[in-house]
Amino acid sequence: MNQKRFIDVVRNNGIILVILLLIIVTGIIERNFLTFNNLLNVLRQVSVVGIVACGMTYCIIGGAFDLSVGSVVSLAGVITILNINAGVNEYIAILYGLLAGVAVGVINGVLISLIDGRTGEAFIVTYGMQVVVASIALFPSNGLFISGRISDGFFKSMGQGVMPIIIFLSIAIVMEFVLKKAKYGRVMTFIGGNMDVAKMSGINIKLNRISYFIISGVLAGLGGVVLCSRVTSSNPTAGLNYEMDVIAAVVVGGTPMSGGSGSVMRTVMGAVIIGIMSNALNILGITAYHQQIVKGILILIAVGMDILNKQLKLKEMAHVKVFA
Amino acid sequence: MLKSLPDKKKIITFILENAVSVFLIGFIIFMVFTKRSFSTWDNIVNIINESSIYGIAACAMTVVIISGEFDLSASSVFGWSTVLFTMCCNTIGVLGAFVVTILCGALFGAFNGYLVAKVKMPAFVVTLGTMIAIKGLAFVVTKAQPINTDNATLKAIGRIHVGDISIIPMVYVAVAVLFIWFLRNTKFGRDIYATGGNYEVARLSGINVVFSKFIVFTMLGAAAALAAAMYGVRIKAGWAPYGQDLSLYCIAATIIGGTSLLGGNGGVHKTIIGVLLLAVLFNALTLLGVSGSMQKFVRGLVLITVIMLDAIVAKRRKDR
Repeated sequence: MNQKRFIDVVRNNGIILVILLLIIVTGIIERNFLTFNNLLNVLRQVSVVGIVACGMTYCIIGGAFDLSVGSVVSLAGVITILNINAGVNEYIAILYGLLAGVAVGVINGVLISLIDGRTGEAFIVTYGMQVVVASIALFPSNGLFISGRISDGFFKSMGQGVMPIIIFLSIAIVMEFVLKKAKYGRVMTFIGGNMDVAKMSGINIKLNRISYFIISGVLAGLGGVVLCSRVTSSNPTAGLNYEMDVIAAVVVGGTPMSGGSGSVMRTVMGAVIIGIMSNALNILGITAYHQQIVKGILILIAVGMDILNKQLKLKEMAHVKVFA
Repeated sequence: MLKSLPDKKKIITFILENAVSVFLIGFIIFMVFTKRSFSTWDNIVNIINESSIYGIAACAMTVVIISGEFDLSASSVFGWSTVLFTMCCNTIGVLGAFVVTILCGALFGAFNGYLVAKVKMPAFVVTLGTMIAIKGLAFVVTKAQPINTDNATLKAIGRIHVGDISIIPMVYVAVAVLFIWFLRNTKFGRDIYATGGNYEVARLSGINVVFSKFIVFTMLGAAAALAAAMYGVRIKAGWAPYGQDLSLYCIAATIIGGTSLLGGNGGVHKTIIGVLLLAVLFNALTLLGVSGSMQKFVRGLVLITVIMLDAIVAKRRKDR
């Protein structure tokens, strides 16, 4: 019995165990790895991807996904920095950045619910939006880097010290709570699990789905603002390929792409795992390109284990039924 | 009067169902009248050459989409293959380069196919993982530097022309015809439609659905590698970031052509029109003097418009 329990723990938390192993090995090889400062550093590095990934998790649980987040990260940063440079109040400037995310989210959501789009349509529509928004982000500065004239204040503090981590974790906790305990979150799981049944139960699918895209958009906007504040400038291509990192965080965390289940906390875990991994590999002196190979394989292993685990469970259930 | 009404309805339905072709023809007519340089022979040859390389991969992507899946890793396979092809040209000669590159592409495709078909992992995640990993591999091998070749045979192949048409469009046409024949006239081709249309029904009718899904990914890997080899023939160089937009371009061309992302219908002949539309559009934008980022903007808008149109037509058909 004890042995069975042990196997269950390994199976359900395989990816965490792998990462623990990596932490221990790296910690033994390199003392600097297991310092508080370094771990804080990792969290700070993953916070932007993490914030965006929280929104993506909602989208995926709700049965869609959003490829436009990377471009929104760029656009929100450009808008915020331009406004701050123009002398706009920093809170208003941040608000404009977030509103850009809301706008993109509304367009995504309305278009996709207009055609009752599933994952396939969401893929193309949000990819189209990614291209459109990315080019909008290029217009104001002709694709050039904009350095920000930032004085001390709220905006500057957003990217410094522990602030990004606090923003990231508090958003994740609130979103996890809403997902698990509030009606809104349960409805989201229902819609993602079976849209037709949810529709017949009288749930306003269109409105709900639009809201997931808005949340994803606004969090991408927030990610862009935090990123800008960290580097005190904006790069119109800062968010290029961000969506892939974001989706990787969700997937490594273990939220299935098919929708209907998952959790924000798992996404946090996924983002941290990827962050720790690249930090550990950096410390071990492995180049960014080698890290890409490792990252790709990590995604495959994470999802492969999840799938095999599910198949084994199904088999066990069938076994129990036959012999019970 | 009453009799003419259904005809009108028919015309509207026809236009909606063939919106992309109608749009393409309308756009070509518009361009012919507004821009002299558009309808010159040189420009037509240019459009054909431009669209051929990605077109090769787009044909194979269509087959994957018909089987109900899609593949994000084709772009990385393409980038890696340009590197491998160039390296092989420098070491083992052109013939060997073609063989090695295409086999390697097929191997990557088979890996995707195995994980999707046999292990039953979602295609999106599998191909996301292999996309990242293969791109990393290409960067590692080349240390992120472009490499080039001055293999004499490769140059000779690049110089082969029939009239003004180089060898690349000819390969494209051959690949397209092969895929059209394969899908229409072979058992494997029909099985792929059945698998994409209704996986469970196809499985219960005794179709080897696992093999169908496996083979489509393998073919796409090989086709992406062949496209990369053709790129090598044209520019005689290889670099990891080449072809980064290939996967999404191919998916877009397929959908624009009218093959549904749901799988089970459509065809390669439709994708050829989709590829042509994209090529004509980009060419026209360049001729009209639209800047690079503005072109991207228009490209995104076209993509969204077409998928919306496609979905609205599908909905109409379902409601009827």
